[in-house]
Amino acid sequence: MARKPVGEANLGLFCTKTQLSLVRNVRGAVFPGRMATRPAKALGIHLGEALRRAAEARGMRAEDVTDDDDLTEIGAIYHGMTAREHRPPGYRLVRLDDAQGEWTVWCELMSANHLTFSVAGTGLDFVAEAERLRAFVDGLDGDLGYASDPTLGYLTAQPMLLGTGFRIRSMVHVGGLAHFGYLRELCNAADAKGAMVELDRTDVTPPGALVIIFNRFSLGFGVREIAERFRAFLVRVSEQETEARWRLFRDEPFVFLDLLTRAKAVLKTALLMSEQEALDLLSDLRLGLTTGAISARKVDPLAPHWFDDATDRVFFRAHGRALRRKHVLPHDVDADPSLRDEALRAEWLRPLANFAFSRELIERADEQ
Amino acid sequence: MKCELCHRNDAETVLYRTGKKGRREELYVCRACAERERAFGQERGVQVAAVETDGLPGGGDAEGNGPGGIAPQELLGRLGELFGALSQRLGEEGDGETRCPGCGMTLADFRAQGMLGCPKCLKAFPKALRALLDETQQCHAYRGDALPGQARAETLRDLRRRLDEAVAREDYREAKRLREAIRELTGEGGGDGA
Repeated sequence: MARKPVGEANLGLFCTKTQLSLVRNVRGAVFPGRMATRPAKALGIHLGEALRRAAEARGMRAEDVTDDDDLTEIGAIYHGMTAREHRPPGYRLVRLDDAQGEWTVWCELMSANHLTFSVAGTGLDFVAEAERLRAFVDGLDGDLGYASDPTLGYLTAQPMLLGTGFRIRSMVHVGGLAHFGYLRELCNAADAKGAMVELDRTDVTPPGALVIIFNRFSLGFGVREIAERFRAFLVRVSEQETEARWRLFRDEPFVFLDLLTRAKAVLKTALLMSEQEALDLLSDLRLGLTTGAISARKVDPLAPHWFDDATDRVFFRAHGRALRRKHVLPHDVDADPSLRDEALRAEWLRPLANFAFSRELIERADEQ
Repeated sequence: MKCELCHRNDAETVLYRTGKKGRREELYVCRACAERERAFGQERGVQVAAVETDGLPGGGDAEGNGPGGIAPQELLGRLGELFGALSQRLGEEGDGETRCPGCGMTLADFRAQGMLGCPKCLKAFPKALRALLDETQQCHAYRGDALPGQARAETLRDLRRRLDEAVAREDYREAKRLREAIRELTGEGGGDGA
């Protein structure tokens, strides 16, 4: 039986990754963009040391992971962190873990601003996480000394972040809205609600129908209020997306069946697969799973991590050693000839073709 | 002229629609209302005939780039352009002569980079910054949570005021307690505390 997912209850179905970040600069120093190489490096080292001491005094473990290639690439793909080739002088990436290893804060030093603290993950409770991050970052003020002004709040190099320095970036799957060509309306709605959509073109569906939405205002509201407003907007988007998916299932079952049949055939038989094609196929699969148009025994769309596992396979190159430990490789990547990446991706995604169409979808398609 | 639908934003485009009684209407509306009418007007029995996009500032270029979607790399550039345009409108600060005393940045530099050079830039170009914040953040004054230093300073001020009052009424027990609280906050080992 097909089901109609409810937006708010299943926000995790649409938001695949979310990053919350707080930007801070230290008193008495120019911003990294205007700093010469040597002072930038010196300040980066000094801040790194001060951050480590301050974090450890609060029971957090600090680890400098600047040179870890795996984490750098994962951070750049999933968490919006600075890619290796764009790192300015003095850049450091520090990972802060709590004693239980349950909460991780990433800190970029000397990126656009002196310090960028962020938490990232799937299915985050925006409001609670934002409050927790703010409390932690504010607690470090005594040791680090943030630059602030009573009339402008925290002073940042980016005018869009002045005030709280708070930014939420959510990667949202909008397969239904993209199918019906509503991306432009999504952008306008975001604009009206104090958010923005990162999108090159509104008439072209981005790979995997994944768009990044972020908050636009950071000056006139507190962190909690920004998080609450942003969440409310995402709930509204998820309701619209639910409607669009339901409309696809209800009004265009034949098109939907065609989409899913093609996805199944390609997943099952493809020998080479690009990242974009793989993401598009995953998007179709998500549409099918969340509407109940297809069923897959080993995939639970409500489990927040199934998409992570699937996208891990799409971006397997970025994961390197971490992914090799997680998924058994069918053969050695390095031993393959050219096009090995695409061949391997096709092979890894093949198990996802193991799904069946729902009886209701086939009947509706027949009727149409 | 204000949008004839929301009566809030400036009208940016013309929308032709067929109303419920079949009458053709010409409305001067903002971009958001035009899009909303086109997307959802059908459900209310309204047929949108055409939306003139020529009048839209930044309303899509020849390649079909829309105004709402934005690539991250474009964002800083657009902000810089906006900052420049605003400063020209203001007729000052954008002359290339005014420099930030902290880092030597001019508005032209900001236009190129999209990022400020130091905290003093915020004071060096007050009018342009205020206009920019009004445009991008729709607000130019911080109304967020209490800043940690600010909260501490306020507490300290309050404690010192209460200490003075306690000394004036010769309540030395209370004065001693307040002095210790001040010492804890300031981290001072001794001194008069006031």
